[in-house]
Amino acid sequence: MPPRRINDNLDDSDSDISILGDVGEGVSKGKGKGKAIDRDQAAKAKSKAKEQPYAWEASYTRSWDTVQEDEAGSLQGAVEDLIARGRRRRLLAPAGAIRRTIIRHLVLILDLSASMMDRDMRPTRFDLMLQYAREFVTEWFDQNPLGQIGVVGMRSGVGERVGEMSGNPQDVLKVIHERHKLEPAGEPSLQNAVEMARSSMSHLPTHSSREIVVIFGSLTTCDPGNIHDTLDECVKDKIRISVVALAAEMKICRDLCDKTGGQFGVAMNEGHFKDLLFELIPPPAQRAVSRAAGAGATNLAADLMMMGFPTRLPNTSPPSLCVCHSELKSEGFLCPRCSAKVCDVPTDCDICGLMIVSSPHLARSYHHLFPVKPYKAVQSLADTPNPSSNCHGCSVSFNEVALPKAGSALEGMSPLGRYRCPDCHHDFCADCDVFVHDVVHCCPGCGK
Amino acid sequence: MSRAASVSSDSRGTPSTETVNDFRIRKRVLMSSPELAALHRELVIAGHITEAEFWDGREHLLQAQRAAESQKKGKSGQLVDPRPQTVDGEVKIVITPQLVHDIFEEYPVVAKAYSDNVPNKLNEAEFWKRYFQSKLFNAHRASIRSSATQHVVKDDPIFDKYLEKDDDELEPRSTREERVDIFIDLGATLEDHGDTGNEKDVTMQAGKQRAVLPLIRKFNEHSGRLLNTVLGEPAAKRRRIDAGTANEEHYEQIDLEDLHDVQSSAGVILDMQDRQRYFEGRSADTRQAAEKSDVPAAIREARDNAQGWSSRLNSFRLEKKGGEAALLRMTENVSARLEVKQRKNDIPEAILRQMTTCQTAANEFLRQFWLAIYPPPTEVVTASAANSAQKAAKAAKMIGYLEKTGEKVDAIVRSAQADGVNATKVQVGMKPVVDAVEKALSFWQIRNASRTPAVR
Repeated sequence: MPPRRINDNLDDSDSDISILGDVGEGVSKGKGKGKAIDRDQAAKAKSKAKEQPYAWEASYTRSWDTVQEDEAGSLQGAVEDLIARGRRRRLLAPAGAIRRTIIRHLVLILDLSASMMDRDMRPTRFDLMLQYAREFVTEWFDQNPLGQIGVVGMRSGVGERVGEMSGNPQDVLKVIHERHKLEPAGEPSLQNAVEMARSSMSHLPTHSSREIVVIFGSLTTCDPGNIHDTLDECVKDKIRISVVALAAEMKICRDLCDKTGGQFGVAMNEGHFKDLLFELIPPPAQRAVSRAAGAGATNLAADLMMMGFPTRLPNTSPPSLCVCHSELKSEGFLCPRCSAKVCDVPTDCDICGLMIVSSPHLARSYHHLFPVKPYKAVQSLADTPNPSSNCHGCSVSFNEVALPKAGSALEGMSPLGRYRCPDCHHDFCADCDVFVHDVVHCCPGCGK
Repeated sequence: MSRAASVSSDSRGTPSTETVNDFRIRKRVLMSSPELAALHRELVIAGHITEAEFWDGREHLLQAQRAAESQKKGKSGQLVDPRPQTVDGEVKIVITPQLVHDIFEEYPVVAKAYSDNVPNKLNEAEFWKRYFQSKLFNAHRASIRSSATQHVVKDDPIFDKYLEKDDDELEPRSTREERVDIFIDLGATLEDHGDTGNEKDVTMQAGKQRAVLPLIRKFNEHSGRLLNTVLGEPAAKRRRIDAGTANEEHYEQIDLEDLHDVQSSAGVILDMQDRQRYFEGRSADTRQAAEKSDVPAAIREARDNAQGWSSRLNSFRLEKKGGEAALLRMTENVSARLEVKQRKNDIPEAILRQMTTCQTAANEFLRQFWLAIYPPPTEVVTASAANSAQKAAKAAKMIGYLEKTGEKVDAIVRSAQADGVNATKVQVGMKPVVDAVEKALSFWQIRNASRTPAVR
């Protein structure tokens, strides 16, 4: 993390004594210092609130410490603080419509080396990793129905192909579920695993994104060759590598992520591990070409892709042979180009190679491309001519008086409990705000 | 030899340019998937499709197999340190060829001893037995703590010849040749602050514990050897050309990435054609003109309408027909579903297998056909005449095979009827394949008719 930048116009906020001794200047400096102190305190309080303990530091965990009751004995404040933290994170994400790759191919590399049997994360790192991998896969296919996931394991110095690239979440989950086949042993080899993942993605078309997510729990890697060569190859192949480290930061892992444009994080405890993993679920944004050949012209031309919408055979139709398994089944989908019967969509038709998707699958990815604009927290009603007294979403009445929030600076929170949409200027309560942005992805006031 | 290998080698009557490696990898892929092997046997061996065409769309399988086989294991960072385990009072070590290889690489002295003495003076088992009990092995251990088996160490006339003096002098026995970069050279400023500051911590005083020195130097040698195998020998010292470039180089080295602020790059703006049209269509119906409603009049009207409600409720009758029709439809739907679930698959195994083989063969022909018509996007578009003519020829050949599929299906239906199985079921089961074949045939006819109208 870069050192916190000290504000430029308070350049001697460190010194207590003003050398010049000018009264006027001293006063202004004092005011400036006062503000700086307040901000520092506020920042410290914020960071304390955000601070999560390292899992290995805890000899015994006091999980009740994270939730504090206020004087009245209610947990309202703690809950609102959690919501505020979420809002702040969301405000940082780009709110406009930017280019993202919806069709994704992801290889999940799991560390199956001896260091995964460490018990600093309950019950063992290995079990926790499998559990979170399951949840990750389910959520990922939910958000990216047009994607495919393959699984590679790093064990005993080689990379093992645990699961083939598949668009069916059940297949991937089945592969992760077979715990006895994934027993950790030996040393990990980052280079072998990345090479194996790279070779399994080499035949893919260029319009889909190629990603590798590594869950790495060891502090060493045992490679047969120079891993920087592998890194250069991955950059050439436009593969994005992201690493979630469980032990500590390794320079090679950070280099892998920085040079390929992925995300790197070290998990501090179980909750943080899950957060880091789930950060990789939304489709990645395409990087802006900073060194543009023309004058700001988009030299990333968007090609058109051919897709087909299948006709669905309901399960009351007579049983017939399918192309993918050669089994007699009743239900299926017919490819529009070659009328072959496939069992499951979305998929690539085995006969003619056309990508077959159903329209709900495409629609499920829309909210990534057209996100709802984040609502602004209303700090005061001074500039609103006619404020409504109820929330536009759920008709719950707003507080008239601003609640005093002493202590922690709640940047993202509104003291009036109102959040305004920048387009339709309706006010919403905090619950509706969270609901609209996380679940509905559509502002009720705008109707868009 | 497996059956697939022997059968496929028979088919290679024509000379091919594949290397032995390719053949081996193909064999492995076929062995790992029995359905693919069956398909391969049926189509390639029978001569319908050549080997190259069969693997045409399946390169990723071959590549995956190749990648999985060509992996090498890297050298471990830990020193080779076989620890004898005490089992039932007896001291045992498992000796694998890998362990032997590692020991020879780590300690060339042992390799020399091995080549000198085996098999002249000692046989293999004897060699290892005496080695693990000798002082030589004790000197090679990765720990200075005296182990319980210390007392088992005996003098050994053969191995003691190879004993070297412990590496605990002032300078290590094998000194590093490379020059240390000036930014990380601790020795350069070591003498500058000798008189001030605290005394160094016990762990930082070089050579304080003499017994540890050989071990530390062994670790260093091992690490150096690991890096050398991967990165190659350290390059000879590069002379600086002129001061200008040297300054830049040095600045680059201290310009650490951690000191830079996090820069978030904005993504590419989504550029959608007719974006307004997309949004317009969805929200057009919601944007109705809000009518000014006259509230008191509406209330009055509602109250008037509500007069006499009890009598009207008594005489209220529901139409039966609509509800009955809906219920009937629902029941039909549910019964159809139940019927499907209860339907047993009573087509016998043999017929089913015939159906599946016919279907997979037809699917393979279809795949080749469509591959020729619509080349996959990963292929570089080489619009050479030869290429397109080749593809047209392939497509025509496939059409020939597909036309025969109809007869094959009929043959299966007839044999099923002969066996007493319900013929319609078999026919219905093969229907998608037949439909797909029909579609391909009609596509080909249309294309041919439009392309070469003059050809009779």
